[in-house]
Amino acid sequence: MAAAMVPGSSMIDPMHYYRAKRDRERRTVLKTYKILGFISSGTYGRVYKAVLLPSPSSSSTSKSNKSILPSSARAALSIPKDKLPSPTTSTSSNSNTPILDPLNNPELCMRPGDLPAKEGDVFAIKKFKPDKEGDVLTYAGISQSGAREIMLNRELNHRNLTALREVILEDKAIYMVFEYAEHDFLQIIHHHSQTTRTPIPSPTLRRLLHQLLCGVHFLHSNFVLHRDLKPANILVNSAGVVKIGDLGLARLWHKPLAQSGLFGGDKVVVTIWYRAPELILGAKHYTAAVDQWAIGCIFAELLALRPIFKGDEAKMDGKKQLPFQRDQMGKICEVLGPVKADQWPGIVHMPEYKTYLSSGPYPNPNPLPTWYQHRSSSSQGYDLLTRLFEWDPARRLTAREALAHPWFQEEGGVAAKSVFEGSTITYPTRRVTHEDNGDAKMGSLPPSMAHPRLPSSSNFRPASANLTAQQPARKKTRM
Amino acid sequence: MSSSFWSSSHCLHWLTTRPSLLISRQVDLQYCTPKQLYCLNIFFTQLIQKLGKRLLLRQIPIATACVFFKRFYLKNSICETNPYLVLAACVFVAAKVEETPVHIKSVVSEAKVVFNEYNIKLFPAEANKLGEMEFYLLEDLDFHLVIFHPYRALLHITGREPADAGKFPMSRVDEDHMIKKKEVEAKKKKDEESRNSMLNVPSKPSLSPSPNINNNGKDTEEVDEDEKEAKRIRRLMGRGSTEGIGEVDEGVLQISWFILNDTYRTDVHLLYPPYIIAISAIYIAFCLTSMNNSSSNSSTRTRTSSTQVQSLSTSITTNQALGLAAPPSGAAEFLAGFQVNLNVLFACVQDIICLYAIWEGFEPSSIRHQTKNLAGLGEDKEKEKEKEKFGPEQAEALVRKMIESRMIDMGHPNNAGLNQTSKRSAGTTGASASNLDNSSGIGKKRARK
Repeated sequence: MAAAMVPGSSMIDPMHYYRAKRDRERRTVLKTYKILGFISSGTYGRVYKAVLLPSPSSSSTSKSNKSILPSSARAALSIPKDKLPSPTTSTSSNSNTPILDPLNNPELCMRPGDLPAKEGDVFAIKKFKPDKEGDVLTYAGISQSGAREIMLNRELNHRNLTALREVILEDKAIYMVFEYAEHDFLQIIHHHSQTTRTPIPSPTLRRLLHQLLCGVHFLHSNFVLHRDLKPANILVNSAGVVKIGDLGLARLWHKPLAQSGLFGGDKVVVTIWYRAPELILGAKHYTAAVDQWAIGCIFAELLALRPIFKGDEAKMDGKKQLPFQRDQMGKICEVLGPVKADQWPGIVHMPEYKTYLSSGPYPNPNPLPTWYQHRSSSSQGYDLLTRLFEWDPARRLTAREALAHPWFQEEGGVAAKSVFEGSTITYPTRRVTHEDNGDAKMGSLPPSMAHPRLPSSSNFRPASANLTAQQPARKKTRM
Repeated sequence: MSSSFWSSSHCLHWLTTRPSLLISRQVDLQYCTPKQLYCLNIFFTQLIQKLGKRLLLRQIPIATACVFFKRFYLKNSICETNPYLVLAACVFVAAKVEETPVHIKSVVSEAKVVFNEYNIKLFPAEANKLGEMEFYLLEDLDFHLVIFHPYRALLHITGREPADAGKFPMSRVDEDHMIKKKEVEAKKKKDEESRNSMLNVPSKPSLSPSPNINNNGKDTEEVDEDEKEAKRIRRLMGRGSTEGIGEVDEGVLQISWFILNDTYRTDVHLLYPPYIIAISAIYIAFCLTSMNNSSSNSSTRTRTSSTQVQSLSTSITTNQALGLAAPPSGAAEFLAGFQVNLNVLFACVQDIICLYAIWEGFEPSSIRHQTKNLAGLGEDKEKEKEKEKFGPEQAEALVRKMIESRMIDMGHPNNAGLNQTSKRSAGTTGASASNLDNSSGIGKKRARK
């Protein structure tokens, strides 16, 4: 082994040994999971469907006590060898030790905090795009959204959030292993609008919205703003449980703020159709109410099967100035009517208030009541919708208040665990492709059968092409 | 998770015990004394702070970087890594985690400047080396990146910032007031309705549902009666706010804050939950101020006119408005109110005050240094002191020597160093055990010398 030298001295570089040790201990994605196919891609990277392979040690460890785990298994499971058995085992094992099932054995989990799973379980693996300098992979630092997603998903645990099983670092890329969800809101909406051409049954719709609110309430009560709620990001698993995904834009609002508050880090948040009016008007300090507006938009989309405020996004011009989203604001006013002074007294303080006035006049009628009556007869539902569409963020319903809304008590309430209970509709399973996915390593076909590599696209490219036109890509601006 | 420490990775996975802390340092202790290792930690913290300051980071990201660094060395040894590279990576990751990201290239260039000051040549000034270290660091941190710092606990405990700041649109007093008002209104309305129905007048259907969130179906009976006192207290406590609880003056708060800054040179963040550290800091601050102010009484207390600061009088009125017990009046009563385990508290206090003596020896503050010179130590003694002197310069040299010796020991053919172990561990038999045995064997040999 050629010893690497430290610049400026004749010493052996200790990091050489350190890295070798860690590389040896590391689990690899392909030894742990079998890739079943490619699901979607985005600016962040690609998502694959994968199944957990049998643990290389499962046969030998099933009978043996965890303390005499053979060293090969320990190495394969990356249990630190020559260091303390992690400060955590003493605390965390208390709750887990009674379970003797090797599949739930905490020792077989790779790290403290990783989730147990059994052979054959299906996962969605999100691979972050590695940094490249020309054709050579380099390390340029993990992106802010990657760091956020890892940080928040490692801490948050709730029935209505997609659970993160583990994170694996390999070949200069990050792999996040999430629980798999067969459906999502966008796909359910699409199925009803294109295939069955019927509205979503109201008990299903009610439970979808209720579970979404449960998840958002959990996030908000933990000081987390999601900031990118939209149908494509809200998943539903085959057991009919809503799972909120993609915390890449989410952040803690208790953290010390950059010079200009929440606005400082990310100039643009929330996909345009779901963006709250205070964001369109350039608010620098915003609250959890931005997520509530998005939930209102999602509620309306579940009812109408198409986006309620489908504006065109004004692109950034050459300068660094953010354009005013005139068209989006117009679309909102077309449905809700222009903002009246008593509805939102604070609007006069919004940075873009003058631009808003000058880009008027906006049409006066408020067609929302008629719009709603065509789609539902529940007056409580209308009440909930209008309260989520409050112009004034301070008056908009919070997640906690929304959960207590009487609409959720109608038609037998939301006690059923599965959103699909009582519904005869079967939704199609997520489309998984085996075509070339631009990443030879993650292909589900043997390398000889895979197509040659294509340059990776930086645009949003879901596996099912007909959905592409439906969703505008989220715009992110990083530092 | 930001609101619940108890379900956080910090609480569940990263609070350790002193014995396991010692075990994790065994390899390093073969190459230096415990005191030297303690000084090295002061040295590295100093470097993290300097680098953080140069990158214009605030105290919280710097503190997070310090905790990352300490956690990394729970699983690794200084002599088997490049601590300067690790340290820069900690700052880089902490800046991201605390939402004040800095560019990788500025971390590299600023780190170069800071390390030059101390004549440190070990740091590889390349962005991709730092990026690579980031990956390994995240792995060794088990991807647990949310750190609970005692600063927030300190502000809650002293009533400077409610625990739920920003979470609720109104204060507890206002909410209590509003709910009471609504209850009265609802009662009035109900009385009216019942009167109307007695007069056989069909009551108008209510136009909109009551805005009171408690007022759906199940809860209507409860609205009938006045809210039970127990239930009311529970609701108020459920808000989790500390409005009107604490009473600590600005001077004590200030000193506690500075003490917390210093604690990042010690191991307390690996051993105690943040609220214990915060209470320990307040305890020490109380002691210090009572020592200084023993002649004068409370009239010398300074208090800024900041609106955030709650005076005792507003504390009393808040508690009165909520119908809760009066806030504590003295320091002892205040501290006793927390009902924390005294043994744990004093262990933490001890760990914090230990720092100052050793720190003074490592980096003498200029004033004391001068007074020592004035005292005029004998020439021999001066030389002796010079020999024993262990400062940043010696620390830098020690780090180099430790790594060098460790690498030689590991590479020595008689000792099954890491180089060989790496080949063997690919096999099947207990490589981990032999590795540990060997390293402790080296230790014994060195000790005998």
